[in-house]
Amino acid sequence: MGALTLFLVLATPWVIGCGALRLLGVRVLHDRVAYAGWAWLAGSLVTALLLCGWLLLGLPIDSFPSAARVVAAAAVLLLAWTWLRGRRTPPMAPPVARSGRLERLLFLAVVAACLALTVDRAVRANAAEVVLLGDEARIWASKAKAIYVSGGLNERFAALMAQEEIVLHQDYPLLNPLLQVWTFAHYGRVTDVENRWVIQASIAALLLVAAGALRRVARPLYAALFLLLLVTSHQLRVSTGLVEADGLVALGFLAALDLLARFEADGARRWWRLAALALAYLAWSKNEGTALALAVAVAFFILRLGRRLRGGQALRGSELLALLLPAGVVALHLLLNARFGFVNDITASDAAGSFAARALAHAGVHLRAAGAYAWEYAVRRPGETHLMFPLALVLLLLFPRRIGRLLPLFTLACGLALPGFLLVYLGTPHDIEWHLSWSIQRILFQLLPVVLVWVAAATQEIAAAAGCGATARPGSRTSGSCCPRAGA
Amino acid sequence: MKEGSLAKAQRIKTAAAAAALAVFLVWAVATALVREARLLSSVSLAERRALLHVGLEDVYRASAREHYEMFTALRAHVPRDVRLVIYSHVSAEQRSDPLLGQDLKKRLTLLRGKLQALHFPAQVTPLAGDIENLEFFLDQLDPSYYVLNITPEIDFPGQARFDLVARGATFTLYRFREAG
Repeated sequence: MGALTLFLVLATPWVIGCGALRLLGVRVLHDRVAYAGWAWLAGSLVTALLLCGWLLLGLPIDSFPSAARVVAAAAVLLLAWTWLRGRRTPPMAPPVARSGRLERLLFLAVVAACLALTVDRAVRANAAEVVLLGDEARIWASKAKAIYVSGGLNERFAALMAQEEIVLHQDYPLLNPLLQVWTFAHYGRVTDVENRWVIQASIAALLLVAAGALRRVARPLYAALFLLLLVTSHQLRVSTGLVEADGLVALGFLAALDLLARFEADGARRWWRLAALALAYLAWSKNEGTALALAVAVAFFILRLGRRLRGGQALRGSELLALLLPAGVVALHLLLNARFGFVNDITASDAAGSFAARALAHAGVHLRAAGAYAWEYAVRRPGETHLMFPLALVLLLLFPRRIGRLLPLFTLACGLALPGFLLVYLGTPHDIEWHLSWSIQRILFQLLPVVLVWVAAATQEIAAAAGCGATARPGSRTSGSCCPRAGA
Repeated sequence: MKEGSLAKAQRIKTAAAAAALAVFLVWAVATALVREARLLSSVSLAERRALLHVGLEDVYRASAREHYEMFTALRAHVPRDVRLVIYSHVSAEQRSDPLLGQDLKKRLTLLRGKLQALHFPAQVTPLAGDIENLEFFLDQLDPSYYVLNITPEIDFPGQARFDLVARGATFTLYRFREAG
């Protein structure tokens, strides 16, 4: 009974996601590795949005899984109908770098090992402790529990949230809590362990999406090595054992950038539509995710504007419509926060003044502290991020033109996100040491998959230029280069 | 000539960067895998198999640790939608020594967090203040509340107005006796 319930908790969103991908025009053969990760991203977002609508309509929570299974059945029918129609499957995207069969098998073996390691970590964490302390309990699980025991986003929920310290950071977005509510609805009660699985699945999805993104920019050997660095990074290991939202942020950020890069590379609209979905997922994952979604969107439109000025094509009206999804999710989040009176502790004014006033007053001290913490966690503790941040910086300084042009969207989005995060630290109302000690590792983890893909692309480029990379595919930008075209 | 030497310098720079990058990558992946192997080998295969069959109650026991008995008493006797007051007597040493006082406050905060998570949505209020304030506070509460005395060797103020519900090695649990 327990195993079947857990299977339904995880399989239903995934099947819904497969159906959503089919509607968007994305198929398994477009990327055999990343597909399952995209399906989880799409399915968990659609499930959470449907659940949110269900709750806003005042419908009983425990009957939602049955309704979701109807949607999943429709997705299965859609997939079966597509398969039976026997339409020609789309050609697989050409590999970035040609490689031998053994190398490709090695890459797949590493992907499988990473997934097995993630399941092992999740089983160990879930057998060791229930959701009890820290942010996973006091922010994420408690909000999910508040929604579930209230029967929805209603007056009882408002009254419960008004209790002193019952839920911390009440303004945080709902994706994570709603996915836990989805689990509670299956079990018919609040659970203290099983609700972790639905969040832990996002870590597995992150690894699959990262594998696909790495393979797109580098030969299988390099992709496998960088994937190993991701799976062994400290904070990914920690996040796999918790029901927190940082894995969701990392997944959404990487997926959005990778999909937009695919769209820029081949112009296929399927990538644009799926990228819009990934942006919505990112924006609904956590406040940092909302900021990162904004950074991705701004970076994309800056680069688009540059191309437009050089005579490139503008986005069509129908393409811009896809942005209604992330914009709608952000609007829903803001409206719900306004409805329940939840305010953000960072941006709210306090006795020390407004956010801007605090940022100006503390700039010097907070900047030094942020620098010291970034140095500590990005450089002095190699296990945290495997020195990927300083390595990216060194490569960019050594080869500014060659490397800077490789993944401009990744570079610009990170370039916008980092000052944004720094600004938060400058204006924080909390003790800066306390704030940094709680958050800097998570921020680095949220950015790490994107930085790893960036460094992998740079490695491929440098190795190819030095004559030790794999054979370039026809039409690659630089002679001997195996990286995607500029703009991607 | 100058262009040729510039190109040569560029090639040397690229080759050196590629070599350094390769060495770095091998080092980073090797150290990461060694660390991971150490972590993996810390749990044997037999232990791993056993983890798959761990009962939920065992996970609760392991999580609540020394508070497990307290937690089971709460589950058995206390509804989830009530206020639960954790009471701790404050000794003379704790009053006079700021470090001891802080330690007590930390322990109460931790216990509050645990009980709030395990008994959601009960409102858990830790009290370790002076006795006069405690009595005043208790009088203000809705009658349907419980007191968890974590210093059971010492009665809490107004204890006569409560019914004993459960007793453990480290606690006593009381329910307020309503008037009439």
